[in-house]
Amino acid sequence: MKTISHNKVMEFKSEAINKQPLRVKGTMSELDLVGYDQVELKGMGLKMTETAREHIWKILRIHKSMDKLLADTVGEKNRDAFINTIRKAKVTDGANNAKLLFLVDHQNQILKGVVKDEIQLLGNDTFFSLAEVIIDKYGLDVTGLSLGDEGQVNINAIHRNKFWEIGNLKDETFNGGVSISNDYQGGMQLSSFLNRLVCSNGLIATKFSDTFKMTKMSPKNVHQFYSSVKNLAARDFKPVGFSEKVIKAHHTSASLREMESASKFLTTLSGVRDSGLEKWVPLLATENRFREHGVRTGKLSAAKKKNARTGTTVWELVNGMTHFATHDNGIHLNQIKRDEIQIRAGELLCKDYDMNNMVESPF
Amino acid sequence: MNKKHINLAKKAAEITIDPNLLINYDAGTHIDKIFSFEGGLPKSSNYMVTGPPGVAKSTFVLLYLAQLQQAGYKCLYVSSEMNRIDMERYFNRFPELRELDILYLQGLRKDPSDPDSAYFHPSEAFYLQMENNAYDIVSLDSIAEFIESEHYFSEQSRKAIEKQLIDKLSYFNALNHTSFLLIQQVTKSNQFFGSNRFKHVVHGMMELDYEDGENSLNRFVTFSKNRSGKTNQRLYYFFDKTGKLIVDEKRYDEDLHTDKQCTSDQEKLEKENALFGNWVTTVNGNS
Repeated sequence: MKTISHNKVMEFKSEAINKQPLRVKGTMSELDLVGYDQVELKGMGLKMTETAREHIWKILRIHKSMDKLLADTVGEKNRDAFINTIRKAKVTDGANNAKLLFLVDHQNQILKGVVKDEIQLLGNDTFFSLAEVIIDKYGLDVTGLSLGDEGQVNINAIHRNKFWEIGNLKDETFNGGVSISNDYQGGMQLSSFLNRLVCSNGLIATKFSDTFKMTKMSPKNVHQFYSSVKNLAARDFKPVGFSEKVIKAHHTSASLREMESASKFLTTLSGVRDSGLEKWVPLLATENRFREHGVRTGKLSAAKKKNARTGTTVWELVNGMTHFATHDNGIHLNQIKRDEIQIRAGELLCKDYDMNNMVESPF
Repeated sequence: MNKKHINLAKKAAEITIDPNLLINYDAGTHIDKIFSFEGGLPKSSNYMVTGPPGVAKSTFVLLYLAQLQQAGYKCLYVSSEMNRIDMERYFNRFPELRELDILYLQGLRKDPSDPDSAYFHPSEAFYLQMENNAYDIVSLDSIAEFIESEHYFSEQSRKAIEKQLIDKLSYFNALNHTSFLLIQQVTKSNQFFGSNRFKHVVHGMMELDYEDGENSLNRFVTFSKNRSGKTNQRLYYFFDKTGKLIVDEKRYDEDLHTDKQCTSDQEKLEKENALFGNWVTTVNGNS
């Protein structure tokens, strides 16, 4: 896991500040849905990204499936007019006309996202000034930087000089750090970042108690953010309960459902499917073994897949995902997607494993 | 009928103020910073100090008085609640308080050598002490108890006692440029004891509170009203293992810095909105 040079970090910082869309305050009543990907915001015609469209649908509480259903039933043009009518009807009720933040790329005239006002989206310059305090204070090395289309930023940084092992497990030596992000979904967030030394796999753990989410910036919240990092640093950036989770994952087989879910997630983000993923998630080999055993996995319900033990441990599955995310495997993956996979791997590690529900039977 | 023209107002230029009056009482500690923008307790000012029971109002004020005294000011603590024995416990915990002038209003006889002599009324003793000693900073602990005990002795109405106290504070503000820290309790639900008159006449309302509910370790002091300084800026304090009161100076500075960052981010947000507004005007104006 290479350290990103200070100059590169500074270049990235200025890019992140410059590329962050304008945060325009307004309400849904000031947004007119003109067409499938066309809106007027405060009288200004803008193109709309799929992400922004999804945000608007969510705020209007229109399910995604309605989109296709309406288009098939009344045609695309009428669907757009219908949804705009719903918007108008909803905003006449003050409660449905809450304050919003519109993310506008004014240079390219694009609406990139819509954020509810309860999440304060920090300017990226403010975000960096907070993140830099942490990186400088604890002498962290920046190992990953990502900038999303809507201006969301993620920084992964580790403490290189502190290592720790997991019980007596061979090859399980880690060093830790932090993953700090600024996005429209959760505001500013702090997660644990873990680097498995034997293969330099990175993992982002958002579910341990050391994580912190700051949806509004205030002295109290910033103090809690700094305190969370301080607590983490006092334990050499090893999250509470991490060792126990790794040991458990080592000794627990993944279910077919967990394996399928991991495989599907990698396919969605990378476009790689089936045999292309075998090296990391051996789903085909597993299905073949079941078939040889007389079980047709395609016919199994989700509930049964949860009870189908594979020959892969949860830890192997986690490592397969983090390896896929961290290394250059000749597959095009931007850093945002790599981060998403590392977060998903962290969630898999932290969840209650399907096989935990199996009961030893005396019969 | 001819009316005589009366003009009670004056232009600021016509009023001369001694520049020394604008130099604050300054103990040289972080507590000074919360009183005023320039730092220090303004002269001739009255501050109400409130907070729920047990939050350490008296301790906080006493220690600040001791710091001010160490800085060279003449300070008085007027105790209408605690007697000498109560105070002795304080002195054992905080030996630095032993040098403070303390006026105990309970059971104060006019002739200390005569056990049958009459008691001073609380207000009589307090105002007499003030007339005869030019104090810089005085704390009255507490207003409610002072008024109650005076009411008990003099049978004057509470309202009349309160009015007299307010008048006397103004008088001593002018006489010796004395500043007062007036301690007042609030209920557990933060309701103010007594009349609201004090709230309006004081220079500032200083509030001490627990950060995370009653008896939590972290406590803070802040101002809900302050004519000379910031409101809602918190100065955190706690008691260490030895019982020593520690003011979290580092956190105060960190919070100030965060405040600036919040303001700066809000300003940037406003600029982004103005930029969007201008852009809409330009584009729509051109089309």
